[in-house]
Amino acid sequence: MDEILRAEHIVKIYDNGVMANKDINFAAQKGEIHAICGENGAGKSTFMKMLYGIEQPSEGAIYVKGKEVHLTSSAKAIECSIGMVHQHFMLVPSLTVAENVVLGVEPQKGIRFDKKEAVRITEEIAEKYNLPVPTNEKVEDISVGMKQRVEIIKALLKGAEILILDEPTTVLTPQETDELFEELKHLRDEGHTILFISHKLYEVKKLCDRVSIMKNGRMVATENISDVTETDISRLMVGRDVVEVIEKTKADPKETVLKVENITCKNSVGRKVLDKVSMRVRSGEIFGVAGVEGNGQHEVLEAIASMCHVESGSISLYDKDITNQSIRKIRDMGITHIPEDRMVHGTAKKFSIMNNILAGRHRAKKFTGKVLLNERAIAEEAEYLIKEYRVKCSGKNQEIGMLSGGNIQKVVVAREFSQDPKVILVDQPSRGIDIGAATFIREKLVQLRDEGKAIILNSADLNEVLGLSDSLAVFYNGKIAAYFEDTSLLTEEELGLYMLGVKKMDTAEIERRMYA
Amino acid sequence: MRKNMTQEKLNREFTVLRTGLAVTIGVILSILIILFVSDDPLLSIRYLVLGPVMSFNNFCSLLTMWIPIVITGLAVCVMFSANQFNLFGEGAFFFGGVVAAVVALSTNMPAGIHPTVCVAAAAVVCGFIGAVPALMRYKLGASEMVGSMLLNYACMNLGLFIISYYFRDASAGSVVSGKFPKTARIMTLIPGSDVHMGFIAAILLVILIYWFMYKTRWGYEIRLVGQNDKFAKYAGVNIGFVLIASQMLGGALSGAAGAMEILGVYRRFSWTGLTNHGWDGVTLGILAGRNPKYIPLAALFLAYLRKGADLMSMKTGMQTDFVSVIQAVILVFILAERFLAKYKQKRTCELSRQLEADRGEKGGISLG
Repeated sequence: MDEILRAEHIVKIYDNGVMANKDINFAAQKGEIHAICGENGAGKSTFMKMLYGIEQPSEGAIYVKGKEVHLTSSAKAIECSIGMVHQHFMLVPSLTVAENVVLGVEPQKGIRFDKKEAVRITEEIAEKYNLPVPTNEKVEDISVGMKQRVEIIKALLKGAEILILDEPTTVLTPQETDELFEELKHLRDEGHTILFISHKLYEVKKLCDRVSIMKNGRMVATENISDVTETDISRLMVGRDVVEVIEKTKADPKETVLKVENITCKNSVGRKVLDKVSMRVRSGEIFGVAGVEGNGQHEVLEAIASMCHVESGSISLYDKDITNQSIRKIRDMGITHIPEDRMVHGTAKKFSIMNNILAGRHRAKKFTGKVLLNERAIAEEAEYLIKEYRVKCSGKNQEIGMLSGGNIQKVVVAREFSQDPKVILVDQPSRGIDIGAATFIREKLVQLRDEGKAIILNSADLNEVLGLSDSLAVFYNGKIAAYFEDTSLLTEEELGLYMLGVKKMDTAEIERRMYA
Repeated sequence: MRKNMTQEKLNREFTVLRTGLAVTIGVILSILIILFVSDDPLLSIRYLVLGPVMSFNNFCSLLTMWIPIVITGLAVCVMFSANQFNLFGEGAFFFGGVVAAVVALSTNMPAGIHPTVCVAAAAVVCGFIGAVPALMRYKLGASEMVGSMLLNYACMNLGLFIISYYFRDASAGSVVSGKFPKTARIMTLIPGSDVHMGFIAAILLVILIYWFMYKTRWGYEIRLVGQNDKFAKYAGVNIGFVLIASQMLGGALSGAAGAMEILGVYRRFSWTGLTNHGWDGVTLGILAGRNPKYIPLAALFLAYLRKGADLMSMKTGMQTDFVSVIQAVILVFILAERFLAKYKQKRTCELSRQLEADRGEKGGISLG
C-alpha cells in the first residue's frame, strides 16, 4: 500500500506555553481506516487541527503523497485533498442539501446560481459513493445521521482523499452508526483514507484497520488492529495496567439533605433534558449519577446549582425550597459545585490562584470588611489551601492558567471543598488530569463523605463513578432508568446496559429501592 | 536560557518590552517627521522634548492638561475592566460640562459648595446616561461599542441644543453660554495659572479608584466579570448589576471630569464640539493596561507630548497634527496582538522545551 499522509516530528506549542503535541510521527496509508485514540487532553484535536490547517505546527513537517505541504488554512488543506467532518456540523440549516454540498464551489449559469446542476452534482457523488441523500430537502429538516452524510459528500466533492472524522458516532443512534460504518468501509474500498477519532474502543476495533494511540501529547503506538485487544488500547491510552481500585469503607448515610422532586428542564432549543426526575441524597453518601453524555446526569447537577432554569418540579435542601433561587443564595446555603469544564465555569485563567480561590466567597465576613477586602485572611487561606491540596505552583500569585490541568482542578476543588458545604456537586472531577491529582481528589471526596457531606458525583469515567459512588442513579434520555442502593455488586457491563437503554427498571422499582 | 524563568515572568517581560518598544517607535517616528518637514528641526525637537519644562508657565499648563485626562483614563479603566468596550467617555465629558454649566448658571450658592454641587450633578446625570449602552448590551445583546459611539453624538447635540437655546449669551459673537458666577468656578490651586483644585481631586480619585478596583469586593466582582463572565455567574455574581454599575461609574467619572474642566479652566461654556478628552482616556486606559495605578504616569506622558507639540508649533510653525499620528502608532503597536508574536512564540517554545527537559518526562510506552 502507498503512504498518502505523513507527519514528521510535529511539535505544537500554544502561545500560553502549553505543549499540546510533542514530537509526533504519524503515517497513514492509502485506502485504510486509521483510528486515533487518546484520552481527553492527549492532543488528538490539536493534531487534527494541524492536519486540517486550522492550527500551524511550531515545528515539524507534513507530507501529502510524498510532497511537503504547508497547511496554513483549511482551504490549503482542501487543496491537498484533506477533508474534515467536524463534530459540530458546518452546514447552513436554511439551505437545501444540494445547496450546502456545493457551497464554495457553486455551479453557475451566467452569473446565476445553477440549482439544477447543483442537484445533479450532488446526486452523482451520492451515487458514486453509495451515500443517498435527499438533495432537495432543507438541512434543518433532515436527521443528524443524514447531516453527517451531507458533510462527507461535501468533503468528497472538494476532492478529499483523506477524510478526518472527529468523534462521528457520538451524535448517532446505533443504527445510524452501523450505516456510517458501512459507508466508510465502502469509501475505503474506493481508495480513500479515513482518520477516525474516537473514544469508543469497540467501534475502533470493529471498523478500523490500524490504530494510533496518543497520550500526553505524544504518539505512543501505532498497531494493526488485529494485533491488539481493546484492553491493550485502553492500557496504552491511560498508561496503566490495572484499573486502580478506589479504596473506601462502606458508607453510613444519615438524614436526607437534598430532595429533588419531579423536575423538568429544557435546553436552549427547547428539548427536554430532564423529564420528571426525582431523587434524594443523604448526608454521608456519595450519590453517583451515570449516563452517556447528554442523557441528563450533567443537567441535574446544573439544575441543583441553579445554573439552568427548572421548568417544573422542586428542589429542596433540608425541606427548604431552593428551586430557581439565585446562584448566590444557593452558594450561601451551602451547596458548592465542581463544574464540568474548569476553564469555562471554574476559573478565570488570567487571575492569580489567590483571586481564583476567593471567587464565590468574596462577600463572606471572613474575607471582607465593610469596604475593604481582608487581604491577609485571603492570602492565608490561599497559602493554606495550596499546601493542603498540594498544588504545584510558584506561589499564590501565579496566574492559574499557567498551571497544569491537574493543578488547576486542585485549586477549583480546594475552593469548593473548603467552604464547609452541606452538599457538594461534583461534575467530571478527574477529566483530563493526571492520575496523581485524580487519586488525590477521590480520596478527598471519600474523606468529605465520612465527615457527613452529601455528595453528588457525575463522571464519564465508569471506573470512577462505580468505585466512588455508594449509591448510583443511571440516567437515560432525561429520566432515571435505574437506581442501585449499593454499587459494590454492580459491574461495568451491567451498568453499560442501563446507560445504553438496553435494560431499564420501572419507576415503582426505582422508588422502592431509593426510599427503602 | 536564564534559570528560574517561568512562563508568566516571560509574559510580564514581554508586556513591558512591547509597551516600551511601541512608545520608542512612536517617538522616533515623530522625530523623523520633524527632520523631514521642519525648517529648523533642531529647534523644533528642542521644544518638543524640553518645552514643557522650560518655564514654570509651561509646566503649569502641562498640569492643567493632565487633570481631565487622568480622570477620563480612570473611567476607562473601570469600564474596560468589566470587558465592556464602552467609548461613552467622550460624550460624558462633554455632557458633564453642559450639566455643570447649567447648574452653575441657574443656581446661587456659596463658593466651594457651588462647584461641588455642579460636579456632583454632572456625575449623576452622566452616570445614568452611561447605563444605557450597558443595558442595551445586557438586555438586547447590542454592541456596547456602537451604542456608546452613537450616544456620544446624541449627547453632544443635546448639550449644544440646551446651551444655545436656553443659556446662550446673546451679546457674545458666537454660541457660548453666559459667564459663570464667580462662586461656581473651581478655585485655582497655583496662583497665576490655570491649575485648579481638580488637580487634588484627580490625585485622590486615582487612589480611590485603585482601591476600589483592587481592594474591595465590588472591584473584584467587576474584574471577575471582565475576566470570565461565566465563571462570575457560577460564583454567584449578579452579572447584569455589575455590568451596569461599572459603566455608570465610568460615565460618572467622565462627567465629573468634564464638569471640573469647564468650571476650572473656562469662564463660560464655549465648547462647540466633542473635546477628545474621552478618547485620550481610552488611550491612557490601554497604555496603563486598565490599571488605575499607571494612569497618572501615562497621562503625564501624553500631556507632555501634547504640550511639547503645542510649544513647538507656536515657536516654529510646525503642525501639531502629528501628535495624533504618534498616539495612533503607539496604540496600534500595543493593541496589535501579532506584534512581536513570532519572537514571543520562539521564546515560549524554548522555555517549554526547557521546562519539559527539566521535568525529565519520559517518552511513551510501547506494547509488549
